[in-house]
Amino acid sequence: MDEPASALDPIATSQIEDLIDDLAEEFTVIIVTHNMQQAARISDQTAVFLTGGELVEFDDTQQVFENPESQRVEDYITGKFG
Amino acid sequence: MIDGDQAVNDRYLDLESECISLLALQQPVAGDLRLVTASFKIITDLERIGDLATNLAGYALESSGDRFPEIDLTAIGSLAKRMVTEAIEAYATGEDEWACREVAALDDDLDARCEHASKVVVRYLLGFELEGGGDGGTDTDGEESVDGEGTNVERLLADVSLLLYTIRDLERVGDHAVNVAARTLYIVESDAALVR
Repeated sequence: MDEPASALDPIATSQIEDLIDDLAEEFTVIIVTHNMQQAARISDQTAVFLTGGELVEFDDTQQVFENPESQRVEDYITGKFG
Repeated sequence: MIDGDQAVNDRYLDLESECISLLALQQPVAGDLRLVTASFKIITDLERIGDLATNLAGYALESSGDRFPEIDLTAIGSLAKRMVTEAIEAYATGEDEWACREVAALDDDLDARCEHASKVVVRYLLGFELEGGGDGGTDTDGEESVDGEGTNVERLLADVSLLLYTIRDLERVGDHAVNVAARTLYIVESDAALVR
C-alpha cells in the first residue's frame, strides 16, 4: 500500500489502519509512508529508505523508533534533517 | 533547607508538565524519546531527594548531638551528596556513562557504611539493656540515669530514633542518585542494565 492514509482525516485514517491490522492476521502487508507516527503505530518491522532510495536500516519497529542503529535514521525520524 | 523544599516541589511540577507537553505535542522518538521519558523519571527522584533533605534538616534540628561520635554521619552524608552531584553532572553533560556506573559502585560503599552505622546503634542498645540501662543504668558518658520526666532513657531513645532515621534517609538519597545515574545511562547508551 502506497501512502494508504495520505490526506485522510483522523477517523478515516483510523479505519484504514484497523483494516490493515485485520489483514495482517493472514497476510504480510507492506506500507509506504512518510508519516513517522503512522509507521511506528501500525508496523511490526520498519525499513528506512533515505536519499536516493538507499535502504539505511531495517529492524523491528520498536528498535528503530527507540534506538536506531544509524545516526542518519535517528536524525531523520527526530526531524533533525529531512 | 526546609524552606527550600517548596521551590523544589514547584519546579518538579513545572518540569513534569513540560515533559507531558513534549510527549503530547512533539511525539518524540529515538534519542529524544529516551531523553524525555528518562527525565520524567529523574525529576521524581530529584523531588524525593529534596523531601529527604528536608527530613534530614528536621532530624538535625531535633537531635541533641553527639551520643555516637564513632558514627561519622558527615562522611556518610558527603558520600551521598557526591553521588547525587555526579549523577546530575552525568545527566547534564549527557555523555559520561563511566560516571553513571561509578555512582552505582559508590552506592555499595554507602550501603555498607549505613549498615555498619546501624549495627553500632543496635549493639549499643543491646549493651544498654544487658547493663540494665532501662532501669537506671548508664549512658555513654557514664552518667547515672534517673527515672521520671526527661530521663536519660527517653533522651537515648529519641537520639537513637533520629540517628536511625538519618542513616535510613541518607541511604535512600544514595538509592535515588543511582536511579538518576541509571536513567542517564539509558539516555546515553540505551542501556537499561542499571535500571534493572
